[in-house]
Amino acid sequence: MNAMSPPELEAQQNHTRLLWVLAAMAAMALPQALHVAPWVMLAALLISLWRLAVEFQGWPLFGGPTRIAFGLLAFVGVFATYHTFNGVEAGSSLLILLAVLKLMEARGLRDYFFVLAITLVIGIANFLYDQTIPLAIYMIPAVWLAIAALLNIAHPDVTRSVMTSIRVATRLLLPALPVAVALFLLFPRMPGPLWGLSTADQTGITGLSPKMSPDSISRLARSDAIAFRVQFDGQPPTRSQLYWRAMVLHHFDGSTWTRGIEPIDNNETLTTSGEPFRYRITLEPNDLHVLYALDLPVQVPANTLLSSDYELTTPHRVRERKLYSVTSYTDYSYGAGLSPTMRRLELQLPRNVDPRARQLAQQWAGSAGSPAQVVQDALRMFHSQPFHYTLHPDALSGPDGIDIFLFDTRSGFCEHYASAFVFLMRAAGIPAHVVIGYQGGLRNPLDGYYVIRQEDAHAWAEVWLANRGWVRVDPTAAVDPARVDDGLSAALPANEVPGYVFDTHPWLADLRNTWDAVNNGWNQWVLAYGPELQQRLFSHLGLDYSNWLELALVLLVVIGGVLALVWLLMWWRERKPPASSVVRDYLRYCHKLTQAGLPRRPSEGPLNYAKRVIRKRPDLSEHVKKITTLYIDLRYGESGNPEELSRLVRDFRPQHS
Amino acid sequence: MTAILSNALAFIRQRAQTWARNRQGPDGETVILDRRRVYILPTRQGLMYGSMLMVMLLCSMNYSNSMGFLLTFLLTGLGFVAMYACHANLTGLEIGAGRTAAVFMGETARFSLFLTNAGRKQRTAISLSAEAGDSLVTGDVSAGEHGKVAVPLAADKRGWLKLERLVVETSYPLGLCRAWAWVYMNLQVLVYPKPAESAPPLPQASEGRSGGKSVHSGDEDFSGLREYRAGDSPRHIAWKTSARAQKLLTKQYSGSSLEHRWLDWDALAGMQTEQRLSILCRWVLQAHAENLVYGLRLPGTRIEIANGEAHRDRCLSALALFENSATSL
Repeated sequence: MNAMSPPELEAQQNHTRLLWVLAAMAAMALPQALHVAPWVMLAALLISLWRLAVEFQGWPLFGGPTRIAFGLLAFVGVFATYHTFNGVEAGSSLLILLAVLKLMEARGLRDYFFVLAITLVIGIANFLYDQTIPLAIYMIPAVWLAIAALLNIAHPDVTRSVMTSIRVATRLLLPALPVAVALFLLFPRMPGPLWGLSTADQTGITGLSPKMSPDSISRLARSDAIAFRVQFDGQPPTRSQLYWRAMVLHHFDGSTWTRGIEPIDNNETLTTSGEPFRYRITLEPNDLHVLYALDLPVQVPANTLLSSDYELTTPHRVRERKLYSVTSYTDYSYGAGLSPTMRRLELQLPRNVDPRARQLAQQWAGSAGSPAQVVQDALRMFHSQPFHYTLHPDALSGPDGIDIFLFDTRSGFCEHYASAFVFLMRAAGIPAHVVIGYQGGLRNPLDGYYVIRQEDAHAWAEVWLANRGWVRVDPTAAVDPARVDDGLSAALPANEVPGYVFDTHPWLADLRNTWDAVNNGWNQWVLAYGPELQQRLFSHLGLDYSNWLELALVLLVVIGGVLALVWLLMWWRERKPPASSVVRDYLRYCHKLTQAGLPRRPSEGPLNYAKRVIRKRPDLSEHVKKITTLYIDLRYGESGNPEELSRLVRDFRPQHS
Repeated sequence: MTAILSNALAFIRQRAQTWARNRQGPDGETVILDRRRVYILPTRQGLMYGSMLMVMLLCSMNYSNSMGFLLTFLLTGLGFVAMYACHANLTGLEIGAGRTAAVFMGETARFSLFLTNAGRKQRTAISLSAEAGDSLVTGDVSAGEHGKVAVPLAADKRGWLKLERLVVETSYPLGLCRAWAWVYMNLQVLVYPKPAESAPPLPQASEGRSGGKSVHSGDEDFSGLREYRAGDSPRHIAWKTSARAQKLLTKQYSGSSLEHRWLDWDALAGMQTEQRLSILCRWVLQAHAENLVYGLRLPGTRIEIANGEAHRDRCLSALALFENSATSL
């Protein structure tokens, strides 16, 4: 035991604290380097190095005014970079900068502890960018290190090795794991955000946008990012039925299709036939108000709305992975009664563009007997004339793009075919619109989930035919049926198949399937664990929570349970007071003597007992004396080696000597 | 505002201590800190940690972030485990009273205590302090270890210095909470008066056997040399040897000299009580250092002439407890 710390000891302790907190900070903030502005990480690194130079080279600490100036600079810099203090990047940047600046004035336990607390918050911010398995694996040792740092900040000890610190941290973390899992499962989850998320949080999402211009879908086709996963309850539909409806685009301005004015049609009629398909979708964030569903969704989840275009809409933008169940019919007919307003909307075309296409359409309309005939004429044209399906069409952004595509270049991606087809139909007087979404999807044989990637993004058309309502027409299929039957890579010319397509190498495909299945399990069971899954778990457990009172009760039970567990542990520990090794050894020695016929009397102290034993058995004299003396030294004195006592007692054989 | 708050805190602390004292009762020579008497509360860091967890929880809820929840709950669990570990670090510790050496007023008394760890785990960073809590001793007790500590307490009054309440505490491992126990052992140590800085010379030796008893066995038996100290009689300096050794050496005699002195209260008439005691204390020390034979006379107390450490301690105790005996054991 040493006396109260003099100033040098305090300095030494702060030295230990600094090194640990810097190590924890480096580990926790490293993943942030992928997300925050580079200058933030650079500034943090330089200030940390300066702080180390203060410690080891005697450089001066920043004075008060310098610190304040740096603090203000941090705020100004972050605001200049992000134009907000809200949002994960801006918030993390500020925390990182303020943490290193705080190190410049850290004086003792409390300051270092504060910096470590900020470090842990920076750690949790890592998960706000992504929650992938690699990051989770990375964070395990990082948290471990941070806890070891916490130990060394609270109780700095120069004689404690790094391994000892890690061992203590392990002993604390392992029992915390079951508590964490219990709280994770049982802590009531609430749907939706508590406060508005800043738009800065959502950058770099690749996916559909609510409009279609000549390169919007082909751009997506170069990405193999996963759009959503589907698990069918029963028999899945055939591949050519896998049209995943996202949005319907009504308005054309000459180059871009948009949703236009949302049509409201109260004369909605829907007839379905055949078997329904029930399935669950795990949607990756798309930053839209739209959920995807198999064409055509009929039963939809709570809190969503089915528009008259059968778009599945949700009040909040989808900004985190979302799990929902839908029932669809692939054999359907809807919108048989088209109101005059709707009809006008569905025939809208910009004036004075694409005269050649208009002329062609009117010519078909004049010669054909019915609108259905016009549809056939158009599809026949795509099929029989030399149209090409390509990922790299010529630029068509100028005016009269449809004319150029139909009569000059004749090569394009699905958006070109859908756009041109709807244009032709409308010009021929047939109500039509563009539908965008996804087509296809690959079944992962490992877990049975269908994986739909951005490369499966697709655009097709719906035309309105009297007595039949809206009918899906996919002009791309007329050009290249392989697109629908076998997927994009089969449909594209060999030299255009993107490098990411793994299907060319079977073992690579296996690898990707495995990785997908692992990721999917992670998504389904860990990341998607929210109000819905919790409700399912609770109903399995026979609990029902539907109001705040019951939520509060559950919370109380959880916390009470945790405390009871702690209490139980304490009680258990108290119940079995462990004897010290010295006492155990001595009792073992007494036991050996008892077996030799010399039990210790209750009133007898060790010395008197030894005397009596020696009187009866002089042959044991030396051994008994040694053990008794050593035991008394160990127990009541301050000297002696407990292992020596163990050895003596082990070698003590009163019966055989 | 802060004054009110600190007053309120002091009041609560006072009440808690009274409550604990009444609940626990006095302690014997050895105490095992059982669960019922180990208290635990979060520290300032613990409150900070709690706020951090709240921030993390709100963050996770706002972003519906599963991994955020998991990390938050892991750290929550860690807080619970640390609380348990902190409590367990203290419970079961055995504390025994040791022998504490007397001190002079103005010095720091070091109450000697034995800590016994009968458990299987090391107990780390256990702090002991007197009630004031300002000076701590901190240390580890490994499994099965029987260690000795000295708890410092300033001795600012002569007489018996009591350690009313011993605080045994720890915030190990993470400093998030502090577990402590109050131990009410009857620990006390004698505080001698402060030896006067400058004192009149020792009273003259009186020849003869006024005590009536011989205190020495042989005459002037030379027993060795020691370094000269101020006050040594020049007659006892070994001049020849000193010249060779280049420093003054004093001859020492076993059995001491024939002469003996009375250190008398009445010889210091006209001074304050404490000053007199202080001078007498210096004389006792000086007489002992010179290996003289001496006796002490105080109003109502008389210690016969003798010498040796036990005699010195008897004299110093008499000085310490002068007009103060009501507080003795």
